[in-house]
Amino acid sequence: MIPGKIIHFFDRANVGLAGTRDRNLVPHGHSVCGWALAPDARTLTVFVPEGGRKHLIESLEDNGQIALTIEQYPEHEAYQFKGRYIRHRPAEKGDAEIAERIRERFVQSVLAFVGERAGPSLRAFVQVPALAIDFEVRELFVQTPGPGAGARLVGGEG
Amino acid sequence: MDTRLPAEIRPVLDNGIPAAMVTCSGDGVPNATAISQVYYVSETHVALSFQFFNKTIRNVRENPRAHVTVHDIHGKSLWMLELEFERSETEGPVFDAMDMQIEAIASMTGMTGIFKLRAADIYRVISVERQFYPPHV
Repeated sequence: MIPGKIIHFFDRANVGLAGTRDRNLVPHGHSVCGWALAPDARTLTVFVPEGGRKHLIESLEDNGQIALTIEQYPEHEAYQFKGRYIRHRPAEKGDAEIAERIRERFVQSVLAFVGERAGPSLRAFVQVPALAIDFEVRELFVQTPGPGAGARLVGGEG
Repeated sequence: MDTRLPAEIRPVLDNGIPAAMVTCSGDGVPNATAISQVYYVSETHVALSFQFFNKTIRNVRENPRAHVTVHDIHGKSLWMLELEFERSETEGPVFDAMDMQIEAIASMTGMTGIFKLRAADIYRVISVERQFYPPHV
């Protein structure tokens, strides 16, 4: 069960990255453009743009392992969710609306550093979702840089 | 897909935008994290900063393969690097240069005293691929 503090974080975070690995234990990174937590507070849906598909479904169907890091930039508050793949489907209109909200959060948080001229490039950074991946969160870790990084919040023995 | 870093990636590595790294433990659990610096060593090698003894550091010592994504926001593209960990350096020109960059990044991002270089981890480039962001509007 994902703690309430983290559920609120989903509404502030603005950058994400998913990681998988193939049958040869070769890791693969996948761009992420959004996320949504199911009502069970255990199933996380991650939205992946077309450019993030390479090796994704093959790896998930081979071994089910997925890691998702979500960050609030530029504050660097970050958490990593690890779990097991459940299913995937083509992205829908509602998924694109979630990605759009995250895109605007990201743009507004970064514009102050880079200037208005960078707006179109920043908007392109958070892409349109192509796939929605559901996974069951089994472990959750703090990833904010500093002494608490790596602390386990959910799952495992510790 | 290239196996050597092209000259055009060098300014992207210096742009100060955090990169993303995925590793995998020896028992097959992936780990995804942001990293503050990818340092160009040569056409065939990069160095990544070892600042904390974290899961990423443990993973690449169990399983040397890594995947790094570097963002070129102004170029509307990202670069994906497949890497293999070779060795760790705690002194020398690469370490010194990375240490200076880390200090600068820490100062710019309010992380002074938190970002501290322990070692420069040297990785061989297995492949490099550029992917342009599709237009979305």
